[in-house]
Amino acid sequence: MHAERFIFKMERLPIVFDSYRKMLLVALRSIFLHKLRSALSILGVVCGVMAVLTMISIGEGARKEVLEGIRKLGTTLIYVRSTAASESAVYNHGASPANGLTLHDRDRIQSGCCHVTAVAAAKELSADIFTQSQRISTPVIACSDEYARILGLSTQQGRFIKKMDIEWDSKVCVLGQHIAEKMFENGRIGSCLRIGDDIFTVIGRLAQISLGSETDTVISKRNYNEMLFIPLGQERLLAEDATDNNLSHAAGLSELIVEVDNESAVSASVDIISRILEVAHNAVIDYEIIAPAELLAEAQKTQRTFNMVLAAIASIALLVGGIGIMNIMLASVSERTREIGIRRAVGASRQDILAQFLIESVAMTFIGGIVGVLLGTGAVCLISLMATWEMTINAWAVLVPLVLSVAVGLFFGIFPAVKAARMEPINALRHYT
Amino acid sequence: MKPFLVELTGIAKEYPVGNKKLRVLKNIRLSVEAHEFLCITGPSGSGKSTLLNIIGCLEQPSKGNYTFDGMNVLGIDDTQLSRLRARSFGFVFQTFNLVPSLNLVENVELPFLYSREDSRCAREKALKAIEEVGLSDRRGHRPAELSGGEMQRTAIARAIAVNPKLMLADEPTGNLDSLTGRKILEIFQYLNRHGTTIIMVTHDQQVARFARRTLYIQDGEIADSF
Ligand SMILES: Nc1ncnc2c1ncn2[C@@H]1O[C@H](COP(=O)(O)OP(=O)(O)OP(=O)(O)O)[C@@H](O)[C@H]1O
Ligand SMILES: [Mg+2]
Repeated sequence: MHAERFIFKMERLPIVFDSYRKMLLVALRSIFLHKLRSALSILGVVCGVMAVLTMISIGEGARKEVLEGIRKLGTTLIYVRSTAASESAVYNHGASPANGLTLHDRDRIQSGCCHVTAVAAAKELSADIFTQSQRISTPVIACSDEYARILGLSTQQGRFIKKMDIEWDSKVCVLGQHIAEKMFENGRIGSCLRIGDDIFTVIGRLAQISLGSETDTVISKRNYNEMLFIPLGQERLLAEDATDNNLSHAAGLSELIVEVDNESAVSASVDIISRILEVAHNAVIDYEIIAPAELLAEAQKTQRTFNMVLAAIASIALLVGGIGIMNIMLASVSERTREIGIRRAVGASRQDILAQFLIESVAMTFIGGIVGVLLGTGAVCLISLMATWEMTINAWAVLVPLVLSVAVGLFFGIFPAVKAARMEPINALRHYT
Repeated sequence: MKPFLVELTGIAKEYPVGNKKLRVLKNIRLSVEAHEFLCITGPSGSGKSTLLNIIGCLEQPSKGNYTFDGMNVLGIDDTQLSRLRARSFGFVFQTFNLVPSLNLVENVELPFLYSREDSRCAREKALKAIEEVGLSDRRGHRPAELSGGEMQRTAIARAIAVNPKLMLADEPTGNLDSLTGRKILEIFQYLNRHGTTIIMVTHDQQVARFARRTLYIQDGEIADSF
């Protein structure tokens, strides 16, 4: 008996579905009959949907590009970079300007700050490299042994520079992936290169490092693929005869990379390091301290603020849009009171009337949603062109606003629809407009 | 005893007007057999339309009992009532009552939308009904593009398409010239002969003559029956 009834219902399902399809057609007809009216009343929904789509796209894009870019630099790292001290700073503080960053600074940081686990020192130069057949101009980094580990560089072949290389003044070098490829056979482990006037032995080759497409301003990950690494100390040999050498920096290191034990210690460590360096450099600020973790927090904060503004705009637009829909649906209900009476008289139940008006309001907001998604996509393209933000429109960015538009149609359509369904058939039929 | 299709006992209807109550129907007792052709006449304002609306379940009486086809229709919920209207009643109103945005065929198909009839089947039945009232060549017209008589015939087509147990007509010829009115009454007679029960309201004595039984209502009471 039960099974029979179930089958009966299953059979009727397509028919019930068909009746909703017809109601949808009626709704669409009524929407397109009053084109201007419908267009004006979905305007708010269109704006709201645009805002939501933009919000999600920016969120996605920013997270993917900027935040990832910063994160790649290492959130437990603090970069101390030497800069040219401003003239006034040198004057004000008299006789003994500092010599930029030195290994002493490294030792001070290492011993002075308890969160620090390692400090890598590096000096950047550029030099000409000669193989048997080629001459290649390339940036060279003279670095301490911690450098690769802290930055997460790994070797594909051979090994990176080790402590003993520095202590023994070994003339060895490690090649970035691209530069090694450029040298063909001569880039093999064990082959010799001339850098400046000295012969260096290749001991390792770095694995390919993928670079994000970010064109981030403050610091971007360097293209280590194009670089050559030598032990710290060996740069002295080059400095004397390197062709384009920045003399003001010749004395000091170009960078100290400090690793701290966890992300939450970054900000405190930055304070300590800046105190240490301030004292050591006689208050001459010839360095800058950059902490990716802080940049990350900053970027996230900016993005959150932006998102909050957009969310506010979106919710206001959706609210106003929803009220617009409610208004137009109420007008439509009272305009079509007699029609409601007729439909009730020929057999429409309250649910049928409810469904019809709900379908109409949802159809309207859904059309608004689609228009909004199209316009929003355009807006996102424009913004990413102008703000050079990489923004990605993914499935969420399209689905969420569409679902929201349907929700707005349901929420704001329910009151007019209930009002229509509540009408007594005979009163609706007797209604005169 | 033969069961009645419509059985009203002690039906009363009051409307609140201001702070008084207007008693439109008082203690109506009426039984209609299946296949009857009943006519209700009476002066204007006597409560004929109200009675017809109560029979057609468009309005609830203030008092009394109503049994339709053996079912107490005053106790059932809106969904069941709607289904009853969709499947068992055919309404023809004094003022046509077509949906202006739908064309002729769609108007005639309307009840099938709510009785959840299969689309193709609905179209077939609608076309057959339209043919019966002789409007096949006006199929695609909107109500605004039809004459009064054509609109009334459309309304009749809508009522007969569902093959109702009971046809309710409120002054179906009120707005028409006598020739068109006659045609419509002939359709009614034809339907009645083929088994449809008809209750028709009119205050035209000529029209009333088509019916087999006539009730005369005055001041909300059945004053005469012949
Ligand atoms: N909703 C209402 N509120 C108050 N009074 C009403 C309402 N509907 C009908 N009436 C009153 O009920 C009385 C009967 O109305 P009804 O429409 O049944 O008359 P009728 O017999 O059909 O008249 P006619 O022949 O003119 O159509 C009228 O006097 C009318 O004023
Ligand atoms: Mg009347």
